[in-house]
Amino acid sequence: MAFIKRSFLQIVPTLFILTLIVFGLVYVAGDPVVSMLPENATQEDRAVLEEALGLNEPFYVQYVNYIKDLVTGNFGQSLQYQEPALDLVMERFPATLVLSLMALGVAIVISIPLGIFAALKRNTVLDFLISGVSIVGKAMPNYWIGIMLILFFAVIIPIFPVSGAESPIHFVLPAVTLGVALAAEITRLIRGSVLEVIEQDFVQTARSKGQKETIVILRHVFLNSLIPAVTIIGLQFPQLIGGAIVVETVFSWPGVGRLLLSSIETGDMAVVQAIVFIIALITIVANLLTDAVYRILDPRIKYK
Amino acid sequence: MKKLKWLSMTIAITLLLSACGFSDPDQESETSDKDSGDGYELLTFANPADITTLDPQNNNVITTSAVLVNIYSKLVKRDAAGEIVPELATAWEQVNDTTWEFTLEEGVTFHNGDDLTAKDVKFSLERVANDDTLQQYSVFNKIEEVTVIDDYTVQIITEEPDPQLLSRLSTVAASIFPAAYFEEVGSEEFFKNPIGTGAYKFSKWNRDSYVELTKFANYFEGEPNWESVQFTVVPEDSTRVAELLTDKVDVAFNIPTADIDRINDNKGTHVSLEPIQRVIQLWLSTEDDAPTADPRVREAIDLAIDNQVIIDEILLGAATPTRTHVTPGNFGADESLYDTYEYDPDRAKELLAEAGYEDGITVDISVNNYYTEMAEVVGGMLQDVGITANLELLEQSQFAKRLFDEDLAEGVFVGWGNDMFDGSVLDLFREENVTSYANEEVDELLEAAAYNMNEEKRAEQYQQVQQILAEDRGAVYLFQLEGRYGVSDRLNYTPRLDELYVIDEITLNE
Repeated sequence: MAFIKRSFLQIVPTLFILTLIVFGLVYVAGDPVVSMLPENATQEDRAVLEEALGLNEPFYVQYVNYIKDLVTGNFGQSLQYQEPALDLVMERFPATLVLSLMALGVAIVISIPLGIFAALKRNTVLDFLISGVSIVGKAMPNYWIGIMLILFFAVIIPIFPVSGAESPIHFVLPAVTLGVALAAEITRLIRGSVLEVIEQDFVQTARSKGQKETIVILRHVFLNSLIPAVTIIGLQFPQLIGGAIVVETVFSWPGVGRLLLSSIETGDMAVVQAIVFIIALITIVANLLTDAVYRILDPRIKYK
Repeated sequence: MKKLKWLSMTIAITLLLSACGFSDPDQESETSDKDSGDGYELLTFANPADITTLDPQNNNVITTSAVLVNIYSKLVKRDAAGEIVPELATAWEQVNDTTWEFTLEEGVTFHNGDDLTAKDVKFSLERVANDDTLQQYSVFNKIEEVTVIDDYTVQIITEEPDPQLLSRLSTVAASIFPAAYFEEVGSEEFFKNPIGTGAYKFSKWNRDSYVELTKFANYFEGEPNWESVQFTVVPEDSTRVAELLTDKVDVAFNIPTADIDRINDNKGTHVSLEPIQRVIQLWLSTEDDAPTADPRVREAIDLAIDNQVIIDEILLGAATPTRTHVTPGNFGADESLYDTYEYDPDRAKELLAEAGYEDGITVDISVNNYYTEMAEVVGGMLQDVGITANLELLEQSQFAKRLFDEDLAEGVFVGWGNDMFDGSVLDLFREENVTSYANEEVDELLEAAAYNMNEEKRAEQYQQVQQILAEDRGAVYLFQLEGRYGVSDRLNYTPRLDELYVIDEITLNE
């Protein structure tokens, strides 16, 4: 209980500071009115529209008004779409979340077996191959991977659809694209920690008890080497959502990333704020969940 | 046991994947298309951006207008050649300098069955003329009043003589809504499920995915060709090209120049290049302390640039050199200044020397992220005659803001459109505008042309301005861009100068 209470006390000021930073950045970055007016509009036209939309107020007045609304749960109105910002974001959020979860799934399915395998076959050609591929996988920008996957698996060999999100098969290429870098990272991590655990005394003990090697690896080595992997997965999940911005653009995925991009370009403050706010919340929740999973994996970890 | 678990999981995953494969709706719809029908079932476009709204009066983006033009009708429209022709109005006349009378087509019905009358025209035009929160307000606010004479006659009264009124009325923002229904449900509800008199009815908008329109069989100009039309959103250029190459879309807009050959070489697709309203130009400060205040320096800059090389190398031919912004198809165009350019680097060096800059000069040029590559090539060309161009690269929204605030460098590299298809775009060079150019003769001509109701004389005034600007290098004009459309060979389609997708101009190639 105390743990939850303390977390909450940390979350509120964090979110508050975050809104101020985002508000400032968007305010400086662009003028929504300019992009809303026809090219030949005059300064007069601009003043009229600014006043009509309440954008002629000084920075702090706009910010205070924004916070007042926010406290009551009102994220404001999108200038670009003339609709409540939160509705726009929530409409697209499921698509991004599903894509990120699928990518996480892809990463786990690829990396855990490969990581264990590389560790068990340490210093063999296979190990070097797996380690080499995972370094390459991490180094390749997912933007490029996406375009290459489309080229090979949708245009040259048309197995998958090029883009869109109409059916489950549309998930495959974007999820793989987004998952590859994370898979590479987790593979290397699992390999490292399996190697570390395998040298520990309790593993030797298990073996000397005469347990089967498969049981030793799965129960004693694997579970114990998961702890660092869980940390990385927990920390990386919000980053996956960030990576989704790029992948969504490549695959015409109707998620929140593209909304964020276009809202930044047009200076659509309310929408940018709403998206950043929700991503921040997810980051915090992901961190809390990571802590909780720790406790399940390793009962020695306790919180004061 | 462990082995069994792994095995069953593998089988489950395999089953799931294959199930996905069998239920691919794309494949199903494709086969059914080919089995039955005459090919007019579905037309698909791939656009780089989604529409931003269904309200044509609160929009300022061509890709949105390009879709909405099919849902609503206006009093007048531009045909494929750019001429203003009747749409909902059968005839119009000017009663006096500030009053226009329009006679409406009878028997026109909206998508919801309401009949079109003069009241709808009054309501729709006065909405955009009076509501200052609408993005198109500044284009229509000179309309003082719309008067209903009888059910099929309206008068539009402007505050001042407005020679551009018909141009304004032919834009998508002058769309006519069913007044009674609009007022009954309110604007928010109305634009969730908008009603117009256009050839296609609004059917569905899945944000960031696609907009779907379906045939309106009672369309007043006759039954439309296509059963349904989809405008899909594919933001990434190479993905859009891939969708076209795999036959998933019929038209892909704004394809990268690097992919032109690939699309032409592919069986079943080709690239259509057609001029659009955007003219790339370099504005040079004429304020006293800038070296470019000297007309000889501005001329030297113009002569140092080889327009055709930029067109060939960067745009692979998809542009036409010009010395004016008012290109053919626009009111008041001076065609003698089109499809031509001046290039003479030796003369450029002489001019610089005459102006007292034998040792060269430095010019700062602001450019946005769309045209960076072109600006860099221009910079290289200027370097060859002794002008060092310092490029200030800006992201578009920042560029637009600084441009509005007149806070850019002495050189500004821009691509500028011409929404009204009119010489009045030259008002940019009128006193107190975003360019610093000042010339009394130009000011007088532009002022006179703005209110001149005599078309012939008005065109002459704009032509004079173009000649002065070309001579004086008020701007260094480079070229008019062409729109790049990837098109399926099954279509007979010529993209329009205004970039609107008027669906029934597109037919099947038989």
